[in-house]
Formats: sequence, structure tokens, C-alpha cells
Amino acid sequence: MNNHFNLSRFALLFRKHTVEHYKTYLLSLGVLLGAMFLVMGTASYMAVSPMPATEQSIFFLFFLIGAGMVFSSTVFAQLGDKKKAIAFLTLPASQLEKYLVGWLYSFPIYLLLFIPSFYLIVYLVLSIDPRVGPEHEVINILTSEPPLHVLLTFYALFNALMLVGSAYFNKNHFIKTAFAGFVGILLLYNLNKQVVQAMLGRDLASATPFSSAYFMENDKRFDVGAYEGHESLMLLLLVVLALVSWVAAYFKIKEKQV
Amino acid sequence: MIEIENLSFGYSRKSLLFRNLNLKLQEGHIYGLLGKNGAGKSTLLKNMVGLVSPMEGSCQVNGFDSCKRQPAMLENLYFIPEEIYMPSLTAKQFVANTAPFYPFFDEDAFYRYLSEFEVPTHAVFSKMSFGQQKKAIIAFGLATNTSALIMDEPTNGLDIPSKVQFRRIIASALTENRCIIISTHQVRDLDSLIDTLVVVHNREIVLNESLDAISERLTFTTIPESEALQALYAEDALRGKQAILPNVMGNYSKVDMELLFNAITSGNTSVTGILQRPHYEQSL
Repeated sequence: MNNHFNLSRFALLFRKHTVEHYKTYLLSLGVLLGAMFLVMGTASYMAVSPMPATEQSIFFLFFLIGAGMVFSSTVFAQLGDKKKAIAFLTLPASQLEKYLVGWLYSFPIYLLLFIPSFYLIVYLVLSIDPRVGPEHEVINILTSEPPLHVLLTFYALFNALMLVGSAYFNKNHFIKTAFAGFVGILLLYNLNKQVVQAMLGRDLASATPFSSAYFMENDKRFDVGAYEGHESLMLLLLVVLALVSWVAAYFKIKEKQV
Repeated sequence: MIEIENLSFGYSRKSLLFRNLNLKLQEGHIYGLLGKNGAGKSTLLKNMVGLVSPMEGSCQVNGFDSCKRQPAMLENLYFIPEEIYMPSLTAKQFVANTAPFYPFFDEDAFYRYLSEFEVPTHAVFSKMSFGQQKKAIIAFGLATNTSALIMDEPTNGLDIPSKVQFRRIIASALTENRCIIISTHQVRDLDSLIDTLVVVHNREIVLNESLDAISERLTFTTIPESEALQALYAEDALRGKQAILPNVMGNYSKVDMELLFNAITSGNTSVTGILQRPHYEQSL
């Protein structure tokens, strides 16, 4: 018997998870559709002109990341409930298989459901706006700004961090993970600034991690940073951070004690 | 079957719950795990199941390290905790989605146990009373036919007729390939059910003996007040004293588990002294 991964056992686990959670997931999807319609509909109603594609892409970014983070924070929340955690951890499947089911739901399946849902709401909002003509532009996520691969990288990172939080904290997973994230960013920023200031031997106005620093002298701004290939390097770092966080979430589940 | 070697465990290093614990549990037995509240019965069971990891030593189930929680170990072990989670599924749906993880699951036996426990098969588990849920999960655990079935306070929440059914069904489900462990603080619930008694007290396993072996060494009887001094341990009863005496005549008496448990946990060393003495010394 393979104690790490077995496809038929994984399929059984996926089916079990789906049967036990599909009602909650469908309800969550309904809430998301309602929230998107309410927010985008209100924005469209209050605007002086029909919603342009640029504004649609802002909503796409906001809902993709926001709803995804909330959903991801619930995926392993059952580990915080002693009764559910015992049922989950003693089920005869490997910890990798259990982790992968949660990951599949919170990443690829979420994206597959979110994107058509978003388009559905966009079409609905535009269709009920009498000012919209036949030529009105609808967001194309493959060409809109920010590019899809950047969005997906950010979503991967936020998803991974939320998975770690949902496995680590026992209650209020979303709030605690978000708070820990803000504290982490604040610490990283300040630490980075101190290090760069020590390296350059002067005070800086700002020093963003993995980006540029600048200082003012005689009312002139001086930027110091590596600009060649900077964006790719940033993305690569985010991808690495997401991968590390996914692995951390897996080990947190593997080592979980009740 | 289940082998614990030099196990030390605590929720913090400063206050260990167990230190160098050793215990072997074999197939073909129903073990009663007794201990006072807070003695660590549930924690010991969690170590066996792999829900917590020992700080030192090991706990193996069928040769697998329990803390690794490998599928090969878990598919041959079923654990029923004191407080259970039941999904919003009917018995049929639960079997369809959970039973395939247990290769020796017997569906007919599951429905038979449910019927004996008078649990409706069409009802949704999460909407049942706690007692009904408990009976349903006990029925499922028995039907998995795992070699180890571990139950933590299984009779909590059961009414008196259900406790009688529980004893009858558990006794009938024991096979020579199966090890059943029942932890409880209600000693009388295990009456006429278990064959081996394990007592946890003061961070140690102070007793791990079959009832037959206990009965060979000790006599449980009622004696007049005047003979109380001869007893290893005695408690007031309606007529005289309920007492534990050394079994010098080799006569059989039914083990009064509650009395024995009280004797051990009250710090009476004469009772444990006799029980822990090697067999050859007994016969001298």
C-alpha cells in the first residue's frame, strides 16, 4: 500500500469531501454572486456612465482576491474544532491526500467557479443598464491590467497564506491570518529599511522590500534600485513564497495534534 | 497489536502526564481502561491513535508508528472519541462515502447493529439525539472490522437499555483477531464485558491484568465489621463491609471492579503489591 498517495483513495476522499460540503459551497457561491451583484450594481447605478472595462478589472481583482482569501481560510478550519479534527485526522487517507483535496477546492476549483460567476454578474449588470450600447466593452481577463499571470500569482500567495492560517489557528482564521499578515509585512518593511539604510550609510525616505529605495537631497528625489527585470524577479519571489507557504500548510496539517 | 514502549508525554515538557510508560495490548481481548478524571485515559488513547505525538518513546499499532497516521495503520483502527462529529448524512450516505476507506467493512452487520440499537437508518445523523449519534457511530465502528477498536467513554449519553445493548453487542463482536479498548470512569458500565483491566494512576499503568488472573489472587466478598482488619481493602456496605482479601484458598469470586479501582486509586499498596507479584511467587 502506498502510504503517501493513492489515486483511487484520493478519488474516494474527494468524493467524501464533496458530498459532505457541497451544500455549504453552493450557499457560499450564492452569497458571492449576491455580493458581487449588489456592489457592482450599486456602483453602476451611481456612476454617470456605464461601467468601463477598467473599472470591471478593478472589481475582478477585488473579488478574486477578497472572496478567495475568505474561502481559503475556511478550507482547513475544521482542524480547529476538536470533534471534526479527530474525524478528519483518523480517516484512513494520507495527510498529503487530505491536504490536496483542500488545495484543489481553494485554488483551481475556486478559480474555475469564480471567473464564470464574475462574467455572469458583469453581463447581468450591463444588461440592466439602459445606457449600455451594443458596442460596450466587457473585461477580457486575458488582456486586462493587471495581467492575469500577476493576478494569479498574488492569488496563489494569498491562498497559500490563508491555508497556513486555517491549519494553524483554531478560531477566527481569516481575521487572525490577516492580522498576522499585516504584522509580518510591517516587520519586513521596517527590517528591510534598517538593513538598506545600514548598507547605504544614510537615512532613506522609503525602502520597499525587493523593490527600490529613495531619499531626498536638496529637494531632489534619488531612487536606488535594480530596475532591469525587476518585475519578473518580484513575481518569482512571490511564486517562491507561495510554494513555501503551501508546503508549510501541508506540514502543519501533517503534524497537527488534537 | 498495540505496543507502547517508554512513552513520555505531556502537553508541556515541564509537566509530563506520562513518564516511561510501557503497555502491550493483544488481539482477542476487551480491555477496560480505568482512571480517575484527569488521569490521562483520553490522552493515552490519543497516543494510541496518533492524535498526539509522544515526547519520548514510541507507540505502535500493528507495527506502524501511530503518530505518523499512515493509511495502512488507520484503515485497521477505528477510534470513537467521547464527543463525536456526525455529518449531515443518512446512514446509507455515510456508508457510501466513509465505508470504502475500511477494507473489511461489513455493511450487513452495520445495519444489523443499527437495528439492535434501534437507530433509524433513514434519519440524518446530525439531527439525531447525542445518544442516537453515539450508537450509530459505535455500530459503524464495529462494522469496520478493524483489528483495533478504541472507544473513549462510549457509554456517556446512552440510556440504561442502550447500555445493556452496548455490552451485548460488543461482547458478540469480539473475535480472536480483534482488540477492543474501552475507556470509562463509569466502572459498572463494563461489568460482565471486559476480560482485562488496565488502570492508569499517578502517571503510570498500575494494573494490566486479566480478570481471571485478578480473581486467582484476590477474593471479593462481604465480611462482618469485626473481620475488617484482615482485609487488604474494605468499604462500608449495607451488611458489613465489602472487602478484598488475598485468595489463599484458590476459590473463584467475581471481581468487583469498582471496589478494586477504589482500592488502587486510594493508594492501597497491598492490593497492587499482590497483583504485581510474579506468578511463581503467588504459588509459593
